[in-house]
Amino acid sequence: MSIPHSELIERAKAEIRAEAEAARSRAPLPRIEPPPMQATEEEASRADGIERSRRSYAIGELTGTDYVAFVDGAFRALLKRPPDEAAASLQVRLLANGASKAEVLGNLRWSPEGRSNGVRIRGLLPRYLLAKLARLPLLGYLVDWSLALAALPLLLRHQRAAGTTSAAQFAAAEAGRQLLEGRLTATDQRAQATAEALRALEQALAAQAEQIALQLGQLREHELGPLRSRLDAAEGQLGTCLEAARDLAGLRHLVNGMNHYLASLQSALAGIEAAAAAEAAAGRALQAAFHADAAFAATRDAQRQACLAALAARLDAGARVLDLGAAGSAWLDALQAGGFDAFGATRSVDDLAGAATAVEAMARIEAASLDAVTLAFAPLLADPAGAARVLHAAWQALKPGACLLVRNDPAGWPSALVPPTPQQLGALVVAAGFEAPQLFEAAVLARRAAG
Amino acid sequence: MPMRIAMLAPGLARHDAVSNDALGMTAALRAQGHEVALFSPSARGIDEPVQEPGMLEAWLRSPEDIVLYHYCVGWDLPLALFGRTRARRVLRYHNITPPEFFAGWSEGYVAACSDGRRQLDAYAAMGCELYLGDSPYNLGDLMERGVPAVRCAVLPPFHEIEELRSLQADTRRLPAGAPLLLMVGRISPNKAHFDLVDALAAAVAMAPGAHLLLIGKLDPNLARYGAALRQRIAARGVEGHITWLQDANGAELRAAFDRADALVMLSEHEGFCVPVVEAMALGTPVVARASSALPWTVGDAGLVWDSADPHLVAASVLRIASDAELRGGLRERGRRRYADTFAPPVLEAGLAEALRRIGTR
Repeated sequence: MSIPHSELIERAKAEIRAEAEAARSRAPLPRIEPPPMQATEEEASRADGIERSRRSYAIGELTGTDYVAFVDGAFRALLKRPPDEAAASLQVRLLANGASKAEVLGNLRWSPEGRSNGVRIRGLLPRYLLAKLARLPLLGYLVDWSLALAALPLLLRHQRAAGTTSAAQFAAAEAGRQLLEGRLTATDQRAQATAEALRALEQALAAQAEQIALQLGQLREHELGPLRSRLDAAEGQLGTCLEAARDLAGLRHLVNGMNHYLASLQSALAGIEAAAAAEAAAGRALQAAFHADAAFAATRDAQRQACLAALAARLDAGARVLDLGAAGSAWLDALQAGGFDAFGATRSVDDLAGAATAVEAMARIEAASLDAVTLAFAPLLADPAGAARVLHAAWQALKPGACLLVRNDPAGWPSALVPPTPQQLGALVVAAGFEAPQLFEAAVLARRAAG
Repeated sequence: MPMRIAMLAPGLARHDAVSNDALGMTAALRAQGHEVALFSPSARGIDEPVQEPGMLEAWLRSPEDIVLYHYCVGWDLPLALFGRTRARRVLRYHNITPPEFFAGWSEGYVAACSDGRRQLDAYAAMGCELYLGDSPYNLGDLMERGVPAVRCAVLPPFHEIEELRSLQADTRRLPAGAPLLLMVGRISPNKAHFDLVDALAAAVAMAPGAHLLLIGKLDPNLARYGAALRQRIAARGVEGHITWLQDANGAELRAAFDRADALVMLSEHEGFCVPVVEAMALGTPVVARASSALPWTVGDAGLVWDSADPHLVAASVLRIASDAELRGGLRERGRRRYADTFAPPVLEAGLAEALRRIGTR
């Protein structure tokens, strides 16, 4: 008989748990301290040399180095991080192809990441724009030539200065070479003396090695035989011990596995007992609550049915009905079940914030497009200004002659307030431009005047 | 009846999970006869017109039109738009990682995730016509903020798994270790890589050839977390047992799923987790931690544990590698779950049904 998959998996999971316990007891993982959390900005700057809080540089501060060091410094200053390999190699390639440092700096500064960092480099923008201009076909060529011509006197001065500097550096290098040559000769003489001393040491060591070999041979003859026989005996004893230890380890794993299983079983039984007790208590509480609520629910359902019947008497099937303050969906569901195209607009209108939400929600609805509006909670009407705004918004959203139903469910009232009578609610809706109020025990149904 | 739908996303790029969902939805809706236009402030590698979000309101013609917004970051523009438009609003919620996961690793991430999650309250109070969650876990975020269940629907994200399935596997950069643990996903603190490294260390102690193939990019803004992860790897002495590919392509991903003994997903927070579905579709057993959306996404098609106990995870992978019957059973369940719940025809039907509901409301 094939085992169903769920049973197979549950059985496998139980065995995996036991295997994991056995593995843990064989080779527990050493505890590792939690990973270090973020250092302060200053500590981070000290650690990696990035000045995170610095937002402004002069261009000369960044162009004093060359090649990789220049790119590295530019990333750290402009992006506040070291360069990744691909990005650094791209910028170095640009430099190798003749791009200016200003262009590389500009590329980083006005990249999306550079923009978000927003570091300021004084004097960079015009240089960057010129560099980019020089990249344009034809026009760039002319710009390059113009810049080169304009800079020619300066370049000549730089060339002359470079010549003088080179000559001075050459003279210094020559003096350094002569000094190194002298040091090399002295080092060579010291090396020859050291080699001679090493040869003498080698000969002495060879003589000592011969003597040691001789003594070792004598020792083997007298001492090694008895030692070997003692070693063989010890190896035999060790083998016996190891076999016994293997048996013991297997037994320990079996006992551990059984302990784990029994502990799991005990824990599962305790859980089942606790759940059963809790379920019994919940059942008793539910039964009591059910009896208490039954009377209230019957009254509420009767009121709801009365309201639905009154609406059905005035509206056609499929009429478009908006319910404000549909805290629960029961009333909305009842409207939909009654054959209306009903929808809810806001969860609650029972305070000032709710009133504002209700007004906003109705502002999104086309004027004179609804056949009815129902207000599921009347506590809002305790605030006259809020009530006036909500009722006005409802008036605008309703077609002329359409219905407004204000449901005054006492269960929704805050305990600190006294619910208004249906007569008071009737007066309020008439004041808001509705007519022919029909009063129920806990609701008022009125018609939108033609206005 | 054909509808006009504006698809709004904070960014569109190839092989990105949210973008795949937006583009998949767009294709499905067009095939169902609806008119769909894409709106996003940035688009890279997308083969169709994408308009600036500022053009969206001008594109809408009637209150019957729909704005479908893919919400996965904090962004003020859609929030303001949803507050004033008369068109019907659909919020596609992909979840946002809680900011506490990034505390101590990246202040930027903490700020961005805090902003994103703060907007959740506003969207929940807005009474959108439909809230579409990738998973029941995502909808839980909305319903605990008072969104009524009648306005919510679960629709797993559209994906490009069929394309992945059709690729020729490229094994050249893959390790030869066995058993092979696989983890796919960006390097981020909510994905619990330290637990993964501990599980690898336990696996190596049980089977010296065990190896972890880690496929995922490290954002430079999370460099501190990446450095701490490397320290953890060194502290556990498993440097030689990990292959980390930050730039794997589709063919390599396909090969990784083929070769791995199990996808090991120990994340502490996932809104859905597409790699789990990729594994199920491609026949790779899943071992996962029962956190956030993972129990639902994995369903009965994997070994799901209440904790990321390293020995338990290691023993799970070793058992899968050595027990052909268990391995076969998990593969079969994974393929069935994919076909029943996540395959493109199922997603297309689910999307049509969700829109039909707001069409009749």
